[in-house]
Amino acid sequence: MSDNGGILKWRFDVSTFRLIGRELITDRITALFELVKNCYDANSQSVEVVFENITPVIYKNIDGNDIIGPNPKCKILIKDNGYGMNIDDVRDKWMVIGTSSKRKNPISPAPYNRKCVGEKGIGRFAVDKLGDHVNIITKKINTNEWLNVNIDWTEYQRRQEVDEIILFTDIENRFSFIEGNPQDCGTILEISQIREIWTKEDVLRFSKEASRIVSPYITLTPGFNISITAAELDIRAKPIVPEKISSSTLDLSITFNKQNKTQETLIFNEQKHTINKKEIPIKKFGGISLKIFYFDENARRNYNRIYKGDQNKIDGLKIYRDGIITTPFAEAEADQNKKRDILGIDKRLWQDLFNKVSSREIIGHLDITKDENPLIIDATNRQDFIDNEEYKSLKEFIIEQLTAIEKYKIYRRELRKSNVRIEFEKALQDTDLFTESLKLIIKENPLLEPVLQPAVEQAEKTSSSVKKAEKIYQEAEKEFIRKENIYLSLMSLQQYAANLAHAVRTSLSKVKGGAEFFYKRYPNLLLEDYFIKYSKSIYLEMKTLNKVIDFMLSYAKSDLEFEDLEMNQLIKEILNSNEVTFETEGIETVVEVKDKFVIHCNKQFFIDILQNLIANSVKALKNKPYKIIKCTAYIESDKFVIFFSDNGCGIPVDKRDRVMELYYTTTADEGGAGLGLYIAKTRIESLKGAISIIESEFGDFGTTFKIEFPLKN
Amino acid sequence: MIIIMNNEKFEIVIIDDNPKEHIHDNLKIEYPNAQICTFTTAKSGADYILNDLNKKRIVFLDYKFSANEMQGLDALKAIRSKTSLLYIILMTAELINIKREELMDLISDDGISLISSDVDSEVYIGLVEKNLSFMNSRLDSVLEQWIIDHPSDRSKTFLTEGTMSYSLNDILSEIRNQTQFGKKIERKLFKLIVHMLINDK
Repeated sequence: MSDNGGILKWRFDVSTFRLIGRELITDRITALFELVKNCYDANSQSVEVVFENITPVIYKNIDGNDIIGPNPKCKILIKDNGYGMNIDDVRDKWMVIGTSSKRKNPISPAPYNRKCVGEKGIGRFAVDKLGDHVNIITKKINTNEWLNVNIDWTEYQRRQEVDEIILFTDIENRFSFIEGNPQDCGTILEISQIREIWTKEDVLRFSKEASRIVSPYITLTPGFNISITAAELDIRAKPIVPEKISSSTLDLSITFNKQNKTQETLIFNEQKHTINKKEIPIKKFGGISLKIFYFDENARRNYNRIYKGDQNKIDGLKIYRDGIITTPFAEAEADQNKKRDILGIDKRLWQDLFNKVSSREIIGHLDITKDENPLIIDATNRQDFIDNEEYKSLKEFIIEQLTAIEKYKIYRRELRKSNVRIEFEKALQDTDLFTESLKLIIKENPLLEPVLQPAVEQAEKTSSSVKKAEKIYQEAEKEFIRKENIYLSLMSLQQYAANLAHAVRTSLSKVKGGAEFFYKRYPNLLLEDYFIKYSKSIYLEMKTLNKVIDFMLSYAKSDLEFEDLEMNQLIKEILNSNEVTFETEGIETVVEVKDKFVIHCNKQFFIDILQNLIANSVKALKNKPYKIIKCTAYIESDKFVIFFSDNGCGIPVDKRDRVMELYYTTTADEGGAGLGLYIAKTRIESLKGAISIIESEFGDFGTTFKIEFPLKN
Repeated sequence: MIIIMNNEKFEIVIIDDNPKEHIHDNLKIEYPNAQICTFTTAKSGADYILNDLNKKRIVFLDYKFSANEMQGLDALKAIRSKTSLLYIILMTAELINIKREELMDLISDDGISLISSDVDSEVYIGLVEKNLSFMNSRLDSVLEQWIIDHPSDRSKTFLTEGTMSYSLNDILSEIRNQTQFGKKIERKLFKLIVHMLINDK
C-alpha cells in the first residue's frame, strides 16, 4: 500500500488566498503560534517545535552583492501527537478556503472535549506565511499508514514567471502513504523554503507567546506540553512553561465559593489604607477566580530590569477558560499600543490618566470555566465574547476590582506628596530651631560670638534655601496640575479628532456624490429638480464642513489654561451675550445659580458648552408660542450640577441616546447639523463631567439636560 | 454616463443610518422600474428583508451603525442565516479599518461586494448590473420567469414528497428561502441539467 498515492488540488484561487491570508496573519510569530494552537485543538498532549538550520547565510544576488537570507535548508517542524488527519480531512478541510470545522464544532472530540483555541481555518494561511513548501505527515490512530502530502507554492510562482497561463486550482500536490504503527497518531508539519530569517530573539518571543496558552494557575488534565528545539541556538527540547509573576507592588487574588454561592471582591479600606476582600453573592456571570498583580512605578522599573530585552511585558488581563487562553488570543503584537482593549480598561484612561489603572500597570489572569460561566460565550470571531448582560456584568466587575487598586494608587500618591510637604516643614523647623539655639548661646556667652556667628549665618542661609526649595516644590506641583489639565484636554482632543475625521469624510462624500451628479448628468431638463436639490445640498454640506473646521480651530485658538471661574457671574454673562437672539425670538430666560461659588476650569470650554446648549434650545423653540430657557446650578455634595431646560419641541425618548452623536440631528429643518450637542458633550467630558437628558422640568414639553462636574477637579 | 436604462422590475433596499441621497437618486434614474426602499437602522432593514425572501432584490448595506445598535455585519449574518441567494453591497467609509476577523467572515461569502461609500456611481451601478444578469441566470429567477410566462402552471402541483405537494410557486419559495427541500430540489434540477447536457438531449 505504501506506493499508493495521488494528487490533491486546491479549491480556491491563489491571489485571493495570498491577499487575504497576509491580512489575516500579520507576522511569523502569530503564524507559528496559530499552528501550535491547532495542535491543542487536535487533542495533542505534546507539541514539539523544531527549528533546523536556522543560521542565516550570505549569498550573492544577481548584481553580485552580498545578501543575507534564510538558509535554503532551514526548516520549521511542528510535531504533535493529536488525532491526525486522513485524506478526506486534508482535501475537504485543509485545502478549502473559508471553511472551518471548528466553527461548527467548537469543542474538540471526546474524551478531551477541549474548547478550540485556534482561529477558524487559519492554519493554511499560517503555513504560507512561514515558508513556500510544506509536507503534511499525518496519521489517525488504528490506521496502518501515514499520509504524506507535499505542497509546493513555488511551483505556481515558477510556472507563472514563465508566462504560463495557469489557474492555481490546476496545481497538483502529490500525496503518498508511508507504513506506520497502528497505535501512532498525530501530525507533523514540515515547513521549508522559509521566507524570513529567524533570530534568537524571534524564537524567544515565540516561546513567550506560547507560554501564555495555558494558565499558570490551573493544572490541565490531560496536559498540553510545548517544547522548542533550535540546536544552533543551544535550545534543546526546552519546555515552555507559564511563568509565575514576581516583584509586583500588590499581589491580589479572589475566588468564589460554590457551596455558599459567594464571590470574593476587592475593596479599598479607607481607614487602614489596605485592599481587602469582601464576600458578595455570586454575580449573574457565575463564579470566577482572578489574580491581579499591580506594579507601581518602582515595581515597573524593577520588573523591566529583570526582564530586560525579554518578551515578558506588563500587558494587562488575560482570560482563561478551563485553563486555556480565551482572549486575547496571545497576540504576537509587540507594540502594546496596537493590542486590543476588549475589557475597556484603557478606554477609561482619558477620563483620568493619572489615577486610573492601565493595562500597563497590571498583569491579570481571569479564570472562568465552561460549567461555572456558561453565559460568557465566545463571539463568532473568537476575539471577544458575545456582548450579553452577563458579559457586561463581568466587565463591570473587573473594573470594580481595578477601582480598589486605583483608590490605593491615589492614596499612595497623596501620601508621597504629604510626606514631602511634612519633610520640608520639619527641615525648616529644625534649621530655625538650630539658629535660635545658636543665637541663645551667643546671647548668654557673648565671647563665643566670633566663633559661632559664621555658623548662625550658615544656618540662616540653609533656612532660606529650604524655604526656596519648598516654594519651588509648590510651584512644580502647580505646574504639574496645569500640565495634567492640558494633557486631559489633549487626550479628549484625540478622541474627537478621530470622530471629526469621520465626519469630514462623510460630508465630503456627500459633496462628491452631488458634484458627480452634476458633472455626469448636466444638462438634462428632466433632472432639473435634482440639480436644484444637489446645489443646495452641496452648499449646506460646505457650511457644515466650515463649522467642523471652526470647531477644530477653536482648539488651536482656545487657551488651555484652567482658571478660577465665578459660576454665577459666568453663566449670566454667557446668557446675556445671547440677549439679541432671545429678544428677536421672543425667548424668556430664567437663571437660578444658588450661592456664589468658584470652579477651577477652562473658560472657553465652559462657554462652548452653554453656547451650544443655547443654540440647540433656540432651534427647538422655533415654533412655540411661549418660549423659555431656564438654567439652574448648585452644589450637590461633591458635584457641581447644572440643569439646562427649554420648553421646546423636546427629544423623543428613543432618540435620547443618539442626539449627542456627531451628525445626528432632530432639528435638520432649522439648520441643525448634528454638531452642537456633540461639541457640548465632548467639552463636558474633557472637563471630566457628564451630561444626560432627564425628564423635562416643563412636564410634557421641552428638554432638560443635567450636567455634572466633579468638584475635586 | 453610458448606462442603458434598465427596465427590469426588482427591489433595491438601502440600509444606511446616514443615507447618501446621490446613491438613491442615481439608482432611481438608472432603474426607473425598480422599487427603492430605505431604512436607517440595520435591524429594521434586516427585519424587512427577512419578512419576505421571495422578492428579487439587491441590498445596499452600510457597515457601521451607532455603537449600541445592530451593525451591518450583524444584519448580514442574520440575512445569511436564512438565505445565501440575496446579493448584498456593503458600503463603508473606512475600508482600511475593517478588522481582520470581520474580513474573515466576509471571505467565504461570494454574494457580497465591499465598496467605499464615496466610490463613483459607475462602480455601484456596475455591481447592480452584474448581479442583475447573474440573478437572471440563477435557477430561481429562471423559474420565476417561467411562472410569469406560463401563468396557468403557477398553482399546479408539480412535485409530491411524502405528504407534501408543491406547485411551481411553492418550489420557488422553497429555493429562495433556502429550506432543506429548496436546496435539495435546486441540486437535483442542476444534476438533471448536467445529465441532459451530457446525454445530448
